[in-house]
Amino acid sequence: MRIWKFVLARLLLGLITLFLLLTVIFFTLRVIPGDPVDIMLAEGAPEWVKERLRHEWGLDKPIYIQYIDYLYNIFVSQDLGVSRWSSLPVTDEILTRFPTTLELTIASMCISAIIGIPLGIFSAVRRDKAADHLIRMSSIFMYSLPVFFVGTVFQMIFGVSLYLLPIYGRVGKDVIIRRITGLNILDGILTGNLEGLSSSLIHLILPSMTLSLFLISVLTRMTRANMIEVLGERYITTAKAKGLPQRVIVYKHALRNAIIPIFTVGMYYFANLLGGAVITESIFSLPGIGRLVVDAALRRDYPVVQGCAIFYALIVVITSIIIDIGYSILNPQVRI
Amino acid sequence: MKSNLVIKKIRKLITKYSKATIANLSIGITSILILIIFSLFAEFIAPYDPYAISEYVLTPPNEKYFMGTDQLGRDVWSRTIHGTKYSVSVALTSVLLAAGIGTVLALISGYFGGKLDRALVIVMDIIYSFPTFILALLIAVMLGPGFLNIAIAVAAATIPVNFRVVRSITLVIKEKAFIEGERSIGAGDLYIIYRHIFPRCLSSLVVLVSLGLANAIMWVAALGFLGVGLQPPTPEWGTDLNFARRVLTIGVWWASISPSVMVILAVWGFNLTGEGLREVLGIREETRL
Amino acid sequence: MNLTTKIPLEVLGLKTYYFTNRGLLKAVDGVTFEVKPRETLGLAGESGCGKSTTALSIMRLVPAPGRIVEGKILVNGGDIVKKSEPEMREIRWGRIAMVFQEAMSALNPVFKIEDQIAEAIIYKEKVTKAEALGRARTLLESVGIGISRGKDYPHEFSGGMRQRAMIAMALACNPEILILDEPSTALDVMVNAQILDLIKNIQRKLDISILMITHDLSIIAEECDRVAIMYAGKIVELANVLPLFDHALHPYTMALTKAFPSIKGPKTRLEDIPGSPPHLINPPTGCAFHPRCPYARELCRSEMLELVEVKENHHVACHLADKFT
Repeated sequence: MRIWKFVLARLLLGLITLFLLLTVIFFTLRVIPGDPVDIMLAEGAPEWVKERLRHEWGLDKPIYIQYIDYLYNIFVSQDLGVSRWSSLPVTDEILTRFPTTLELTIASMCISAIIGIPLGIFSAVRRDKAADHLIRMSSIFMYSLPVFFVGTVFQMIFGVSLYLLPIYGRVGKDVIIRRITGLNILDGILTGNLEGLSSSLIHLILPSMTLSLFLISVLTRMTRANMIEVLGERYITTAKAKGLPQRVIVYKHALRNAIIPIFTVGMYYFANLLGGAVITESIFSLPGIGRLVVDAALRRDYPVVQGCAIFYALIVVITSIIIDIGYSILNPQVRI
Repeated sequence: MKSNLVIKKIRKLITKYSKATIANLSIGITSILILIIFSLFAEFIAPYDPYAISEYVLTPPNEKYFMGTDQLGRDVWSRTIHGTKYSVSVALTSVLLAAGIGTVLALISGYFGGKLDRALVIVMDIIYSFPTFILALLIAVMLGPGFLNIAIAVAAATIPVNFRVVRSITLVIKEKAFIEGERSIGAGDLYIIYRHIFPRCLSSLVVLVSLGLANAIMWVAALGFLGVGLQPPTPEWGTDLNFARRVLTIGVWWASISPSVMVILAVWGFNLTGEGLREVLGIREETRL
Repeated sequence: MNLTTKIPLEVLGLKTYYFTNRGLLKAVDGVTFEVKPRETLGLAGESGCGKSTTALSIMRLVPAPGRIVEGKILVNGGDIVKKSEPEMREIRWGRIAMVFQEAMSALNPVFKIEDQIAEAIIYKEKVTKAEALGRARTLLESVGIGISRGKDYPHEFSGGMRQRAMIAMALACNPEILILDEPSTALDVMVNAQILDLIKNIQRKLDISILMITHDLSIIAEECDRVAIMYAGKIVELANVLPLFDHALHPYTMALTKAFPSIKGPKTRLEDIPGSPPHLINPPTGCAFHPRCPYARELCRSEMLELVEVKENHHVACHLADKFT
């Protein structure tokens, strides 16, 4: 019973936060210098065309009416407007591209967790020994490599020189996967499309490796630091006094405690990546949200920028709810 | 005699800190020195004028051009050396802005508490949870290219981290008994903040600034790479890499090397220094960006 | 007395040093004592005198940079100093168990209490999880905690309950020796008394030898049969409790007993011991207590004495012991 109260309260808080965010987005975008109409049309456009456009876009209404329309559109009709560039609904633009980013993010997080967390534990248990120092030094170095550098190097080595892996796009040129969720890997499995599935997987390798490099070093360092702190706690001494085997002490007693902040930070990076790894998507020509936002911003396509910002707000709110609920599951001391 | 004492002190310091920290700090400070030298003395070190166009377009490295030339026949190496001061100064500006604003807000918010504090914390949390690089990117696009605009864009996305760290320190110090003592003998709030709280934030701030510089340089280069940073013909590392990448596929490998190496050196240097300082100063707060 | 009865715990000439950056810290510097069957031996002294390190040495859990440098620790005749880690894991909890102070930080916050107790049983004996849980619950009952509370987490228990849970956990594998490290420091007086009663009951019911480590002499007086007084890593006096309190033979012990107020006795002025305990990296030469001893002589500055049986069952390490009897 108490759990439901907590979840409900948290959802309510999320809703309020979302509301606040949407308001901030609304007013921020309207403070930006430059009349969008002027930017969209050519130089010598006659005034009546501008008036017409302004009316069409609802820019001639008073600001509070625009605001109410805005909220109504979002919550009731889920209408985020129409792209001024492609004339397609913004919602469609976003939903078409989001699965790409989602797939890339999930793949990168999985790789990073599988490599990073064990590496961090390994490092922590061998604290101050040669292996630990090696891992720490390489961690900081990998963390300092810019994404555009890593991506390009991977492309050059694996794609061009070795001709081993594809360097562009999500699937091979003539490969088609029937779209159910938009996540090619999932769709490939669901439709039994083996060719599509393998093509998607191969195309995912380089981009997710590029993103993972950074994440692995972050996770390794975090895991190491947390494990060292936890291994110094008195309940670990108790566990040792109980004569438990070393692996039980490390993996059961220590890790279970150390994982709590790792989960929080991991989700934070997950949300960050969901915003779109702009550079990775750019280098590997992946049609994700990151590129959508950047291109739209460069083209002053405000409906799309606003739509993406709203979408981010939603992601942020949902992730923070997941973090809070997950945290209270992991840490008994925080349960309501 | 005095030199003996100095040597003794240095020896004591070296044995006190782990080998890793010493290594970190040595490499880090060395690379920072290189950056400083390049920034200040670019005129004297660079063999050519970074803006000088020549007819020797896209030549590979030779005795004349150390790292070859780019699409406009300009010397890549000279451009990279000159690019140092742009990257460093923009990054420095943004970090100082972020640290300055973040610290001031955090001190006030943490010390006085109340509704202002709660509101600021929510605002900062919101900014912090937004995809940080994209935020900086959008602001940069909205404001347009230019030195100050880039600095502001990067700063805006970095303020929340500074705010958090300084605020948490403020909250801890505020509760300490001696603050109560100071108040009871009539010390004003601003005096307490200035004299007791702020100095204790300094070591964390130093680490934040160092790590922040690493981050800022990386972002400035990334913005340049995406075409949103300092505009050509300014010899910025990221912008140059953007153009260099275009000719990569036709076999022009040399144009990408020196800007990449400098970016990596700079970012790595500041990260190492930040980590080393963190050891030395004993910082425990979470300073992730 | 049956001469073939093995002595549960014998510590012979134990030296445990910490090799720190700042120097060699002689935490335990030649300690010898034994704990007889069904006996409670108190190990008393000020903070930092080496009591806890002695306990950790017996468990072979001395943290780096410390290690056992010399000496023997005989558990039922077998020296455990030389044993390998796998062998020690058998001995820990199964033969010797320890109850740590401040149970809140000594219990893992993310596991339920009954699971933590059952865990020891599962890893040591071949029982099913259900069986282990059953035994864990019985143990909880025996220390006065309701069975339904077993599903709670450590932070949901009160301080006293946590301490009891630790005691229940320590008894899970039926050890022969129980070490209690400051069992009552973090608790208030009433709860304190309950815990001590519990311990007394346990010893009466089970066939256990107890090593009780504390700085509180009143606990020693109540709970222990014999007591060893430690100072600067060495034992300075070792005797049965009553004779020691009645007529202490070491100046340090004398000062300690005088420093505790007596409710019943005449209201005399509390005397404290001048000076402060020595730093164990650079202890004073000879007898470590000599800078603070009102009876110190030249001899005390230069030579340290071993424990000598001056009266029956009463050992002292003092040059002037004869004078005091």
